[in-house]
Amino acid sequence: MNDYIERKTSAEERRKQRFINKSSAVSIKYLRKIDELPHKPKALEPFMNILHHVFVDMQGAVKPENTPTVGTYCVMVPQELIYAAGAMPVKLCGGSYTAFNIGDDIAPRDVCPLVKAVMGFQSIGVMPVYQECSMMAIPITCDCKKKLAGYLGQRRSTVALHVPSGRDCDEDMEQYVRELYLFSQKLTELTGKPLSYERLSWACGLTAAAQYELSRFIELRRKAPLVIKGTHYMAVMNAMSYTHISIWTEYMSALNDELEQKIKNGEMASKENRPRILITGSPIVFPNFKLPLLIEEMGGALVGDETCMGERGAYDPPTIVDRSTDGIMRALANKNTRPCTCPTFTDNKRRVYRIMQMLKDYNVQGVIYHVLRGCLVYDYEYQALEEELGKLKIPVIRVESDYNEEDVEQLRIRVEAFIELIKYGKG
Amino acid sequence: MKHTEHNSFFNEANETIKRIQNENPSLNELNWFCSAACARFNRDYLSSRDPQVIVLGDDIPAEIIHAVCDRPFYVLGGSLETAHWADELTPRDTDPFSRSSIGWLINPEFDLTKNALIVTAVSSDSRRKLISILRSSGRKVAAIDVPPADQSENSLRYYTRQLVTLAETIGRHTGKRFSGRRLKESAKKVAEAHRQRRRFLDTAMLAGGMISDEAVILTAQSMYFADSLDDWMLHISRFSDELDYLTTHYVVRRKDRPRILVLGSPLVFPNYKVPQLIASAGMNIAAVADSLSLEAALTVSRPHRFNSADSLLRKIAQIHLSMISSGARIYNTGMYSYVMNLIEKLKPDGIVCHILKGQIEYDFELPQIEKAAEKKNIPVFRLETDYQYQDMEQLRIRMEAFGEMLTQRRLVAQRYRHTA
Repeated sequence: MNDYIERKTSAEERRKQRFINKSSAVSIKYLRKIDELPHKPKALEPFMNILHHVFVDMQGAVKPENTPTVGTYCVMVPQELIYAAGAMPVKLCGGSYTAFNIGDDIAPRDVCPLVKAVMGFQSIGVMPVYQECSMMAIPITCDCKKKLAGYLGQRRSTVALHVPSGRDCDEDMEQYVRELYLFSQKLTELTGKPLSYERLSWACGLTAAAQYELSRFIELRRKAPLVIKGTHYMAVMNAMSYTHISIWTEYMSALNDELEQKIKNGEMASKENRPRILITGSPIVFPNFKLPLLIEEMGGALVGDETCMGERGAYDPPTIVDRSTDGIMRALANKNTRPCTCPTFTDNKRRVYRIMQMLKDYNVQGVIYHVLRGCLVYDYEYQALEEELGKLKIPVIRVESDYNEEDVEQLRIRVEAFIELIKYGKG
Repeated sequence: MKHTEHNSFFNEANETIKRIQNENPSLNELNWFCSAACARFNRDYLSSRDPQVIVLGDDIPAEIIHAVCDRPFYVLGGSLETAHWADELTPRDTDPFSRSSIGWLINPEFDLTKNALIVTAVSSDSRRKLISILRSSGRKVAAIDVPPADQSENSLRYYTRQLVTLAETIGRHTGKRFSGRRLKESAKKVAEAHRQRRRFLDTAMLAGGMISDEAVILTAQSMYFADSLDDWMLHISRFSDELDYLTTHYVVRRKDRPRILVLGSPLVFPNYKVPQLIASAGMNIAAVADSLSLEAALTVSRPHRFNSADSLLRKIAQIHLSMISSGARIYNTGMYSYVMNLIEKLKPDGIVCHILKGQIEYDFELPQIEKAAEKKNIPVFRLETDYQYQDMEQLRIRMEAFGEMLTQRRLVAQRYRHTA
């Protein structure tokens, strides 16, 4: 009887059900792996629940009721602008292997897996976090995002933001400010709430509170030995993408309190002699957590990440010098481009400076440069970074990966050898 | 026995030129274009050329370049050897066009950039990172940003402003101040060059079997290789006259072969693999609609050239922003409408979509082209390759199969017409 009922459903519905089953299974597996890592703080639970809520229960973003959501794809979209319009930003860069497989049939072969996953999510249309978005905001930061904007634009309400390739000239900044004004107009059309000084400063207050908690957290992470596992940190930052900022701030505050208590009690998350690793390069988006998990499983301590899913977009507060609507808009344009270390900019020496700073701050002993297959902009910057790290005698490996689990064992061998190399170097 | 130096940089160009000359022995004026193209691969010429301005890519309006520079040196990739020179500088998956372009500028053999300002547009990921490589190696680079949307007023204003800034920067380097008068003269000159190019292509199409497809592509493309645009116009006019004379005085029946429209990544001298393959598979090229051809097809019309300098500049920006075929756009509507017009006009039997490995933007546009071609019952053949010659035989087999299929379709269509 059951078979008969199943057959009555259309092929498309069965395909969607298969997607849900497979996608949930992968997410459960990675959540379990994160969960099983030792020294998990109790306050991490809400963040894990958010990821479970979105990827396993297949529910929408965690937000107050009746708040429309705006899908964003890079750190250049100012969250404050969306919150000021009464909506909520949801970072939709995809990390799903299942969605990637669907996107693989739609996108050209050499497109990066992140964009393929987004196209897969759009095509299958079953993930509420994607489906419930009233608008998509895509900063044009690379060729794939450019064409993704075209793909989504034919199917959804989409705003493409032109991010100038330079950011040091006033003309470039003016252009981005104009783009933000045009974006805010679209947001007003969506929510009916016009842009105002009061709303913008209220939204800046929201993000400032989150930044305060994040800066507390970063300060705690700098401790040696580590007080929280790097993979747990990544789960926290990934959960931020799908949570209203006020809720995330609340959870973060509780986590910071617990970590402070742990430091007082001397309950650290790793031993002092663990090789301290930094990840940089292409973003690591849940559930594609194979690399951070491998590092920690192989005995490394993942102390920091310089990726756009980490603190890159949330670290710098807007510097408001002119207390007016226009002043805040300019501060937001500045905040989202000038300190940004995204390789979309032609001159991106500040990424090297940022990594140098992180090496010092986190006492890093080795760098893993993560390149998603097809992510050419990050690949270009590898050589310059390798040279700089060579001068400091800090080992670096380039790890190229895709959204599947076939390469996990090869990666394990490379990561293990790299960690041993650092240990041997120390000895 | 005379000692011949092994120089793959020169040999690649030489082989292509020899092939073109052997296929077209009776065309006297063609020799000038062959020499112009070949000179760029001559070490003596390259060391003496010392360009003031090097234009990287074809995304910058020629009107702006010629207004402030007399002899720009275009770098458009094309060479396998220069691509090899760039192996150390670029990641593995970089497209050969970008790889070859950077190899032209940074290499162990010659330095074109000593006194040059390199001018380019940030139209793709590779380009933005090439700028970074060039700057960090101490080269002077002036770049413009290309807005990805082609319709909005904001994009147009920004792009126009960028063009002015670029022209002023080049002007400061060359000592030629950017002015309205110079822009108008340049627009007139470029329009004339494009008109001559169109006339040549129309004449060559009528001349059919008298000139090979590779020779047509080389001649049309040599606009970017010639030292002087005035000289080039003079010679292409003479070449068109020569072909005109031949078609009026002699009858050469062109074989009834399938006609192909070539789209996608640019075909740049000396890498004429694709036209070579098409010819060897028994087909003819009806037209090439790559970014170089589209750029050369854009012209500011006469009435606009008599407007004020500001409105002329805006018109140039508008035409380029809406029409240019490049991966820089979210929607490549200009390229799409150009291709559709060519299909309507030329009624090709098949379309070859040439994609250089790594140029994913063309791959993204392929489904739209396929859909449109399917409606017109025109088969599309996606040909992915790079500048290496190792895949020639595999590609030849595929191309021959495509050619046979098109020939069969023509025969069936003819039979159907006779029986009906």
